[in-house]
Amino acid sequence: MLTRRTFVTGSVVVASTLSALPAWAAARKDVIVGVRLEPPHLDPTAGAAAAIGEIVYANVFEGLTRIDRNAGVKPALAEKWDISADGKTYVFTLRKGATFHDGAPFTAEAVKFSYDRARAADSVNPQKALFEPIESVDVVDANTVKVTLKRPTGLFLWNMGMPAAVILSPASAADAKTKPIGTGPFKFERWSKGTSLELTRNPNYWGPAIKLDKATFKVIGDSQASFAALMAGDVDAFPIYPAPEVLDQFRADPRFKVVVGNTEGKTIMAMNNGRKPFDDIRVRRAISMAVDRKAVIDGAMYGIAKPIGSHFAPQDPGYVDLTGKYPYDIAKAKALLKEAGVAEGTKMKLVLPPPEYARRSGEIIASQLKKVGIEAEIVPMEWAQWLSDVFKQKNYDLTIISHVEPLDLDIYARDDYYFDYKSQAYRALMAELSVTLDQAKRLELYGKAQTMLADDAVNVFLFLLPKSGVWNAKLKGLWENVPIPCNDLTEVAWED
Amino acid sequence: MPDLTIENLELEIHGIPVLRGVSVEVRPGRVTGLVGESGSGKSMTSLAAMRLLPRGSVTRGRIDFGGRDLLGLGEPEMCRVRGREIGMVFQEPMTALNPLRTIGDQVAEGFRLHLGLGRDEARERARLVLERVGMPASRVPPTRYPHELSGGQRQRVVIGMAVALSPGLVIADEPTTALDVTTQAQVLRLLRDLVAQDGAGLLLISHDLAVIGAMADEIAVMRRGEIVEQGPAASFFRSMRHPYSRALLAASSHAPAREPSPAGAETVLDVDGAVRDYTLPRTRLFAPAPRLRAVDGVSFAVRRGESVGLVGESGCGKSTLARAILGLEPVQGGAIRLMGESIAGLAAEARRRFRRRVQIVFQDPFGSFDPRHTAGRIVGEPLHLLRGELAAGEREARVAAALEEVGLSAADAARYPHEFSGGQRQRLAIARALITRPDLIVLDEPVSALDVSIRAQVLDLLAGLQARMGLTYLFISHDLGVVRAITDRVLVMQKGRVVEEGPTQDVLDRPSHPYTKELVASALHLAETLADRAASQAAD
Amino acid sequence: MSAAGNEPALSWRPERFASRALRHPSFVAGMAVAAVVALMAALSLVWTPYDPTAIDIPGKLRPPSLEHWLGTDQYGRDTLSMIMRGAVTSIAVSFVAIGIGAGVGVPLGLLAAQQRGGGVDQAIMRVNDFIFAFPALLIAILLRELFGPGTLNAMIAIGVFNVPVFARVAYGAALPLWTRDFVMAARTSGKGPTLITVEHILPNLVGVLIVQATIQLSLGILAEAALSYIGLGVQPPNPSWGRMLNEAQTLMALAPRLALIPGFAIIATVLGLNLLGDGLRDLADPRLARER
Repeated sequence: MLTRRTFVTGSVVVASTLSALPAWAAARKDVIVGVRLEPPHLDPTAGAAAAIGEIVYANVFEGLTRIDRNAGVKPALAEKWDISADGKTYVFTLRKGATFHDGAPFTAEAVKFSYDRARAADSVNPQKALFEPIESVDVVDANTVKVTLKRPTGLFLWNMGMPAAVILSPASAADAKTKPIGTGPFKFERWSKGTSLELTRNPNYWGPAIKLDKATFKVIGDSQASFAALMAGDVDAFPIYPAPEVLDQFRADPRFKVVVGNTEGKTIMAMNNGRKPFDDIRVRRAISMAVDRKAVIDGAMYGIAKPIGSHFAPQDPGYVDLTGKYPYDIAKAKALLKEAGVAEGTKMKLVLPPPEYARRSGEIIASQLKKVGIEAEIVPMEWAQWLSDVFKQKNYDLTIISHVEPLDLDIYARDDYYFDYKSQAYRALMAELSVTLDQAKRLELYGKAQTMLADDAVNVFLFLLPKSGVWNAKLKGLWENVPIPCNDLTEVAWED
Repeated sequence: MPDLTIENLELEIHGIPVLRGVSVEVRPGRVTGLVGESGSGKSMTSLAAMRLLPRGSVTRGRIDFGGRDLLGLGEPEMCRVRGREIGMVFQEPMTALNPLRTIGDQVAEGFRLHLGLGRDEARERARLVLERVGMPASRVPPTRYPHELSGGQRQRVVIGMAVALSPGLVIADEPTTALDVTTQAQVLRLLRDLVAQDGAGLLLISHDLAVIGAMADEIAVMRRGEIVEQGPAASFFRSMRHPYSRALLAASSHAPAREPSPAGAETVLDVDGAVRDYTLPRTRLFAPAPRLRAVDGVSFAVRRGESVGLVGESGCGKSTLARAILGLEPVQGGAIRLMGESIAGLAAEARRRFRRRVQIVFQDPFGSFDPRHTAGRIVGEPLHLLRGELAAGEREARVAAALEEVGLSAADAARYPHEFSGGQRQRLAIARALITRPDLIVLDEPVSALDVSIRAQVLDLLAGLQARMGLTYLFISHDLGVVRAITDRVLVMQKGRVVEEGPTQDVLDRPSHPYTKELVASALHLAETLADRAASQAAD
Repeated sequence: MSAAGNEPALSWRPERFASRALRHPSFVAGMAVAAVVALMAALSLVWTPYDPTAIDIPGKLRPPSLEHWLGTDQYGRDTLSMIMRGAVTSIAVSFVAIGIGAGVGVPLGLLAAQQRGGGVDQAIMRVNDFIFAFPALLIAILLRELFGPGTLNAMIAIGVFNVPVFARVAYGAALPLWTRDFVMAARTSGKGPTLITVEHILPNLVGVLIVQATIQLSLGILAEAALSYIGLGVQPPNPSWGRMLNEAQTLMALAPRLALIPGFAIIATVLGLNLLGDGLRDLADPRLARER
C-alpha cells in the first residue's frame, strides 16, 4: 500500500512520497470521515439537525426498518411484519439476539417505550408528525409488537426507518444526547467537542459483521481546510463535501473518487406567502420567472445540481418534470410585478442561513432580482437565529433553504408553517394521500400535488441539493446518494 | 601634557558655513575662554574638537592634539581619545547623566572602559573621584541616582566623569549656566582647581563675559563663526580693539539710565502674610499627604511707579509668589490685594477688572506664545478682558499702538512668533503685558534667556517705558546685576520667606542677612572681576 | 537655554511643510499609494468598468484579459470593479470610524487634560483603558448580537475602538501644553479653561491628531477587512476587500488571483497609509525635521 501525504501551500500542491508500506500489510481497519457541521448532541429523536443522523444513524442507532442506499425500505430490528387488510394494523416480529451496547436486551418493551416517547404530548421529537397516525403500540410478547394506526398511512414503514424513529433503550434514553446507546454495529466511544467523534466496533452486533474496527468523524467546517485535510490524507472521506468548486481537482487525482449523487434536499427560495406582496400569486410567479435557475446552479453549485420545478426529488417515484413551468423571463416578470402593483425598487429581506449553497445562491438571486426592480437586502443569519426568526416567527420575506426530508409534500399542508401557504385544495389533496394505500393512485396524487405547488408558485423551486462526496479511491461501501441524512458505515471497507 | 591647537578650522553643515578660519590654542595648565553670543559658533568649535558634529558636517583645517590631527582619526581611535584624553562637561547635567544608573557606576564606567579595571576597583576609583569633586561618600553615597541630587551636585558628578581619567584637556561648554548663583561660583572654582592640579588644559565656553573674565588665561571672542579678537586675559579688557568686543563688554555691564521712583505714591500691590502650600504625593497609601510650603508668610508692598526686585535661587518660591499675585493660584493664608482689592472670592466681572490691572512677561520668549497665532492676536489676547468695552476697529488700533510702544511696527501684527528674533519676541511679550494698561507688570526673569547685547536693549526699553508711562514693575530675577540695573528696591527670598528688604543699592552693597551676603559674594560682577584682574597683574 | 529643543511635535506650518514633505521618501510613497486608492474610490462612485454587483454566471472565473483587466470572480463579477468599489467601502468605514473615534475621543482627552489633577481626568482615562481592553472584534460581535451584522455596526465597532486611542493621544499631548507660558498668558488674559482649550490647546494638537488619524485609518481599513472577512462587516452584495478574500478562500487552488488581488490591495493601502503616517509624524516633529 502506498501512502501519500500532500501539503498545500497556497495554490501549489506539493506531493511527496513519505512511506511505502509492504504490499502484504493488512488492510486498514479504521476510517476517518469528515463532516461539515458538529452535531449539537447525539440523540436523533430529540433534535432536527441533520448532523446528528450523519453520525449515529445506522451506525449507533437502528429502527424497526431502515432506509437503504437506494431509498428502499428494508427490515432492520424488525425481522418481518404483517399488515392488516385495512392497512391500520402492523404486527412486527422483532430480531432475536439483538442487544443494546450497555448489555440490555432489545425487546418489544423498548419499541413501545420509544414510540410512546416520540408521540407523547411533551415529546421533543423533531418529526413528531410521523407518529401522529399511531393509535396505540402494544407489546404482544417479548418479540412481537402490534402498532395500530388511526388511518391507513402509506409511508408508515418508510417513516419508521427515519433517524427520528430509531429505538432507544428505556434504561439509557435519557442520556442519549451525550451517551448514545443503541443496537447498531458501532458503539459510541468519545466526543472531543469541536474536533472529532469516535465510534468503535460493537462485537455483539446481531447482524452481519462489519469490516471496520473504528470510525472517527472529524468536524471540519471550513471549505479550504477540508480540501487540505483530504489532500493531506488527514481525512479518508468527505461523503458530503461542502465545496463543489474544487471537485474537478479531485477528479483529476487518481487517489480520490468523486461521486455526485442525489439527496432529497429540495433547495427552494421560500416566500412568506402570508405577507404582502407575496400573498399575490402574480408576485410569486414573477419572482419565479425572475430567477435564472441555470445561472444559480452554475454559479452556486458549479453546475452539478439538478433543477427542480416543484417540491419533489426527480429520483423519487411519481416525479413530474415541472422545471419548464416558469421559464426565465425578465420582461414578463416585470410586467407581472407592475400589474400586481409592486413598485420598482421595492425592498425585500432575503434571509440566508449559514450553508454555502444558501449564501451563494442568495447572492446570485439578489443580483437577478435587481434586474426586475427588486432590491433584495441580504441578511445572513446563524442557524439558531434562523430557526427562531424565520422558521418559528415567520419574520422574513425570502429565504433559501434545502428541505432534506424525503417525500415531505405534507409540509405545505401544515398549519402555521413558515411558508404560510393556506391552500384548502392542497390540504384536501394531502388528506386524501395519507389514506391512499394503492401505489399507482399514490403516485398520481404525488403528481397532482407537485403541479398544484408549481401552479401556485408557493416557493421558487431551485435545485436538488447534490451530494458530492470525495473519498479515498480504495475506500468502498460508502453511499453515493443520500436519501436521508446519514453516513452509513456498515458496509465500508478498505480495498487491499 | 599635550597642547590643543585648532588651526584655521572651517566647518560647513549641509553646505552652510558655520565656522570660518577659527584658530585657538589651549596649553596645559592654562584656561582658554571662548566667549560669544548664541549662534557665534563657540559650541560648534568644541564639538568639532570632540568630533561630535551633526551629520552633514564638512570640516577643513587642522585640530592638533598632542601631535595628532584629530580630524584625521578614525572613529574607533576617536572613541579612545574621548573621555580618556579629552574630558567634556556639558551645560545641562540632568541630560548628561543616565537617569537609570547610580552616579558611582557612571563615574566608574570610564575606568572600566578605558583602563579595563574590574568592577570593584573601578568603584573604588570612582569613590575617590567623587570625593575629589567635593562629594565624599559619607555625605553623598555613590549609590545615589541623578534625580536624588541637586543641580550643583549633578554638575559635580559630570565634572568628576570628565576629569576621572586625568585627561590632558577638559572642554566645558556653559558649565554653570543652568546653576544658581551661589552654586555657580563653587562649581567654577572646582573646575579651575581640578584642571590646575592635573596640569591639564581647559577650554571654557560661555556667553558670560564675567565668567570668562574671572576664569580664563586666554580669551577669544567669537561672532558669526569667526574669532574677532583674542589675547591674554590679563590685558585683554584694556587692550581690546575690535568694536564687537567693546560692544559686548559695554552691554554686559549695561545699566539703563533711570530716574528714582517718586516717593509717597499710592500702593499698587499689597502682599500681606501670603502663604502657599502644595500637596505632595503620599509617601504611603493611607498616610496623610505631606505638604510643601512654597511661600511662607510673605509681606511687602509696591507703590505706583516703583520697580521692585525679587531675587532668590531656584525653588525659593519667587515664581509661585508671582503666580499667586497674578491670581493664577490661590493662597492658603494672608491676602494679596491689588489697588486694595483681593482676587479671592471675586465674581467673574470683578475678576476681569482685577486681571486687567496686572500682567506678566515670561522668561522664555518662545514658549510664551502660541506658535499658531499671529503677533497681533498674541499681543491683543489680554483685550479679551475688555470685551464689550472696545469699539470695532479699536482692537487693531490698540495692538498697533502697543507694538509701536515697544519698538516694533504695526505691520508686525501679521507675522508669526517664529519669524521674530529672540529680542523682538521679548518686545512682543512686553507689548502684550502693556495692552490693558495694567497697574502692575510682573516680569519673571524677562532677560535671562537673552544674549547680553539684546538684554541691554530690552532693559533700556523697560526703563524707558517706565519713565514714559509711569509703570510699576515687580521684577523677578536671579541675576543680581540685572536687578541692580533696573530696580529701586529689592526683596531677597530664601525658602519661601523674605529674608532681607531695602533699597537695591543698600542691600547689594551692604547685605546684612547671611544669605544675602552669600548671594552677593557668589555673584560674579564684571566690574569687580576686572578690578581683581588689574590688582593681580599689579601684584605680579 | 531656549525651549526650542524640548518643543513637542506640534509645529504645523503650511509654508515650509510642503517643500519638506516633497523631499521625505516615506511621505511621498505613502501619499502616492493613498492618492491612488482615493482616486480609485472616487472614480468608482461615478464609473467602474462593470457594475461590481452584476453577476454573470457564464462569464465566471475568467482570467485577466483586455475585457476584464483583473479577470472575473466565481460569479462572473469584474474583479477590478469590485476592488474599486471595495476601496469606497474601506475608506468610508475607516473614515466614519475615525470620525466617531476622534469626535468622542478628542473632546474626552481635552476635557481630561483641562480637568487635570482633579480626579475627573483619572476617571475619564480609566474608563478609556477599560474600553481599550475590548478589541474591535469583540465589540463587533456584541453589536451583531444586538443589531445584526452590517456596515454601520462595523463602523461603530471600529469607531468605539478608536475612541480611547484619540482620547489618550489628545490627553497626552494637551497635558504639557497646559504648563506652557502661553497658556499662562491666556489665563492672565481672563480666558476660561474651555476657551483656552479651543483657542490654544486644540489648534496645537492638530498635527499630532492628523498623524494619529492617518495611522488609525490604516488600522481601520485592516479592521474592516478583518470584520468583513469573518462576516461581521459589510454584507453582500456590497463589495468589500475582506469579503472578497473570504470568498476567494475556497478557490485558492482554482484561481489564486481572486485572493491575491484583494490581499494586495489591503497590504498596499495599509502599508501606504502607515508610510504616510510615519512621514507626517517626521514632518510634524521639528527635532526630526532638523536631522534631515
